[in-house]
Amino acid sequence: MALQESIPTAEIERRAKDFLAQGKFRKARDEFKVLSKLDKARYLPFLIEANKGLMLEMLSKGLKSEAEQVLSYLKTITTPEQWKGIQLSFACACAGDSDAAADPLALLVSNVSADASQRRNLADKIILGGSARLSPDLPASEGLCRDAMAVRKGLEAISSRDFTGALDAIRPLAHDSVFSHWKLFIKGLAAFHTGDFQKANRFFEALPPHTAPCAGARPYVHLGSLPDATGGVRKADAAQIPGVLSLLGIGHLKDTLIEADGKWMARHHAAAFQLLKVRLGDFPSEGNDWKGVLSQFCFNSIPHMSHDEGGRMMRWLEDAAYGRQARSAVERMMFARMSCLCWGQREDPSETLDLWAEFIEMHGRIHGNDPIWTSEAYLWLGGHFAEADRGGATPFGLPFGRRRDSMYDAERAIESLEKSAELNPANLEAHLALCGVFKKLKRKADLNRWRDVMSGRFPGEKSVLIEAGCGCIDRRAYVKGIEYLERAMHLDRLDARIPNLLIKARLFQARQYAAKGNIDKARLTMGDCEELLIATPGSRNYLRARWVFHVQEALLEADTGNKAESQAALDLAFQHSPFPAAVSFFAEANPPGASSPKWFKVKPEWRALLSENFTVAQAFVLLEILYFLREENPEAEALEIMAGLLEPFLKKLQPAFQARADLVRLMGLIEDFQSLDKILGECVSQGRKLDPGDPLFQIYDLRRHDQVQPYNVVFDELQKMLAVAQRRQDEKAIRLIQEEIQEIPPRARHTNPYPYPDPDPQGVASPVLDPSDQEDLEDDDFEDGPFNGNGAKGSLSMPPLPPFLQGDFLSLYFEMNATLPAQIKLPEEPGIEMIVIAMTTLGTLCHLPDEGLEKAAASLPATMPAGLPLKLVKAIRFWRSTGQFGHVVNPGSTLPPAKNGVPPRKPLKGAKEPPKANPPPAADPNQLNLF
Amino acid sequence: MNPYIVLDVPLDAEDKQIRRAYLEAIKVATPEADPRRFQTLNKAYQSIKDKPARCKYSITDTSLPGQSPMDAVLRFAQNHLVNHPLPLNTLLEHLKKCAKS
Repeated sequence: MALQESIPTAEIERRAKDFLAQGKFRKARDEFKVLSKLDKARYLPFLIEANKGLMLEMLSKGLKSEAEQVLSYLKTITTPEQWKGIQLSFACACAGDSDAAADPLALLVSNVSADASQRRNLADKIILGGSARLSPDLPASEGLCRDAMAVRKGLEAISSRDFTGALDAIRPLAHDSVFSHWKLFIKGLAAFHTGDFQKANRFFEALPPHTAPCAGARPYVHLGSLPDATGGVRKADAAQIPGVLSLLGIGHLKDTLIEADGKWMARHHAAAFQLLKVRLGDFPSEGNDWKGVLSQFCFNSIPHMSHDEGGRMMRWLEDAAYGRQARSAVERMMFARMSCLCWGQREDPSETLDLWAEFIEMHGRIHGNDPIWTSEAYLWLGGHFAEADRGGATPFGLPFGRRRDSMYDAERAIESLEKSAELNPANLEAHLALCGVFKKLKRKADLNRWRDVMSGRFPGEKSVLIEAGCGCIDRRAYVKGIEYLERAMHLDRLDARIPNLLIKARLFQARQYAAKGNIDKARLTMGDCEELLIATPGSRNYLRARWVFHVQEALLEADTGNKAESQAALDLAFQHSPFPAAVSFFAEANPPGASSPKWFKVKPEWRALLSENFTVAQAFVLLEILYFLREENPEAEALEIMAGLLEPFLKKLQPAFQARADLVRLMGLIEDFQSLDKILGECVSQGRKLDPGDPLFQIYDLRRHDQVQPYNVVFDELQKMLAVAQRRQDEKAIRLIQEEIQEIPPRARHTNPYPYPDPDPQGVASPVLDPSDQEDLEDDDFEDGPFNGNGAKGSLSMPPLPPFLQGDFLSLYFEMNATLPAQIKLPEEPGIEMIVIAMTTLGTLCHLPDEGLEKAAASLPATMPAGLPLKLVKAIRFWRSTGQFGHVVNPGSTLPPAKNGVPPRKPLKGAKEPPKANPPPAADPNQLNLF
Repeated sequence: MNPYIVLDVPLDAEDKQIRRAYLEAIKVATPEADPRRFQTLNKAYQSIKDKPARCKYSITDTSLPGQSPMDAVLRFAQNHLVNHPLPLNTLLEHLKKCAKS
């Protein structure tokens, strides 16, 4: 029965809804009237809507009285709130405002059948488009108007950065208000603009979907979710990019930026740069805007790229900056700066000087001359020239474990730093840097002069006072030195360097007094040291430990012949010392300022003590003493001798060093003592046995190998080690490996071990970009060169390392040279560097045809040994004509494949052995035993 | 990120203006409330707080403002928008556009 009734009801409902949709309101009203009687809750909203439609229809036809009848009827079936909306619509329609009746506010008020989502959309329209009726004066819409006005007020406050005002404005909005999602949006904006992205995103993410605030908040959510710069590569959410760009007002550049980004990520850096330059205009720029940031990104990326990619980009920029496209001073300035910052040490330092001068000039042209800025610029330049020389005499560089102490360009460093100090006499850093340079160069007169200048210019500066104090100690003007150091200590009591220097100065001064026979003054001065002593028994400061001080006292008294006082001091030293052997060991190690009183006996003697009992802990203390004294006085020969004397004891103790931590500590302490090299070697072997993949022992092993290896081979090996060390978080290994990597010239870090960066100095390959080519420009265009194919445009990349240079090329040199006629023979007793230069030059020239040989040889650097290029050219022609050594002198030839890709090394025939480090002077115990 | 943008000061700002901007910013992003932003602000301030620092920054800076050109622009947008809310009309236009799409 119920089923029979439900069929006509459904049919009536469908028909009624159709009428409503077609605007046939009267028919719809009749049908819904019937249905409402059956199910009021369900059909009443439709009945109201049909009646409302009918009312508006009648009004539009001028049938006002009929419309009023409908209105009266509506009053009986609507709630008071709905009635307000209907009244509003009626009033609008009566006023002849045809649109007003369809006003979102009116619709929102009267549209009782709408669901929450539709109502929110109407609310959005009110906020975004405004409402003709949006006035709180209208009683019919008072609540809604108030809410809408609050939202508008909130948005206005956000725009004027009044975030508290914004939050205050939306506070009255109720949770069930149709505008409540705007409340969330405004709260989210307020949080975003105060930088609290997490909070902002919490609000934004709570927004109901399919609403205007939800859609508008998406770019903000995207921006608020950007990870830290350290958070790894993150692909931008492509869907949100247009929104974000439109927030910046550059939505129209979306395609350009996406395209450039794609090219950049595909490693076509030059093409991406070119695209931006052509399409953006005024790029690169220095502005404080998105274009400035983009320019900063493009240039600052270069030092972060791999060496090959960075080099390619720099070459391209060089062409772009100085070629036809050079239009802007900003671009030239940015290029010159980055070129100097990331290129490292050039073969010719004057190139760096010129480029830096260009940077300074362009900066001056753009920003005006500023001596403070220029002073800082010269400070950088001075620091660059003062860096340790990393240039290798050969493309294979320096063997591992060796360091060059010389500066990249000492004279230019001094000139630049002097200029920096002259431009800005208040530039303390420049003064200190120059001081450091003079110190490193051991130019004492200049150093002292400069220290005087500094103390005059910066009388109250701690670092200057320390420098002046050191200077006085060097000049043996201890009284003055102590005065400077005391002033420095007054400025900073926590700086540990100052008491160390002060106690050293007082010890020297006491010895000076003692030497002059003024023992009372000497004792007084020693007494002044008391306040600086460290009371902690296990202190590893071997200048300020109490027992060390008593040893110094004993030595001083012994020097002046006061045996009783000396013995008393010595007793105190034994009393405070960690173990007796430490006292006599320290005394013999000839601490700073102490003389070597041969008659002075310290008993019991440390060697005797150690023979009886020597523990790992004691070994570490003795080695720490040596290490500490070496730090204080790196050139003290006595320390090397002491290390030699300690060596047999350490050797006996060697099996006790088993744990990795002990081995690492031991290696750290002994690595600078040549006399302990064997112990170091055994530690390394032991460590490698414990864990063959341990990067720390690997790097020690590599450093100890005194053999010539091509830079690129070494670089790859170091990179692998570094990766392991970083995975293991082995800070020490990371530091040591990075130090070694730093030693490798940047240009040799990948696959180019050749000494000659550009064998085409005529610039055949330099690309001059034609605007018509710009669209298709790819970085690969710059990889072609005359050597590797068609001679197309692009800077040269070096030919690959010839296979013969991967094998035993030293033997090959002699073998090849033996076949040459006397008049074109290469040097017959060459040093290893000569062989390397000859063979790598051969490796470069052998790729060229006969007719290009002379030209290429003529373009080789002037630093080549005289006559060598020409001889090589003749030799290549000779070998080609006789068909000898085809795999060397004919391009594309290869050696038969070797095992594991590397030909086995044969013992050298006739080649000079690579120079080895001088062995430490043999210690003569009889001569050196001072006790 | 470019410290001038982080602190929202012009390139030719003087010490006082930079310090004021920094203090203003850390009033909101305190170390307790937002340690990450506080660190960013602090780092930015240190790199341009006085003339020598600013000179040094302009000479030696090699920091990357992003991981790619687009990322750099997005990060700029983040910093810029934090300090520069959209004007009301632009914001409403943006919302309208987003609502349509």
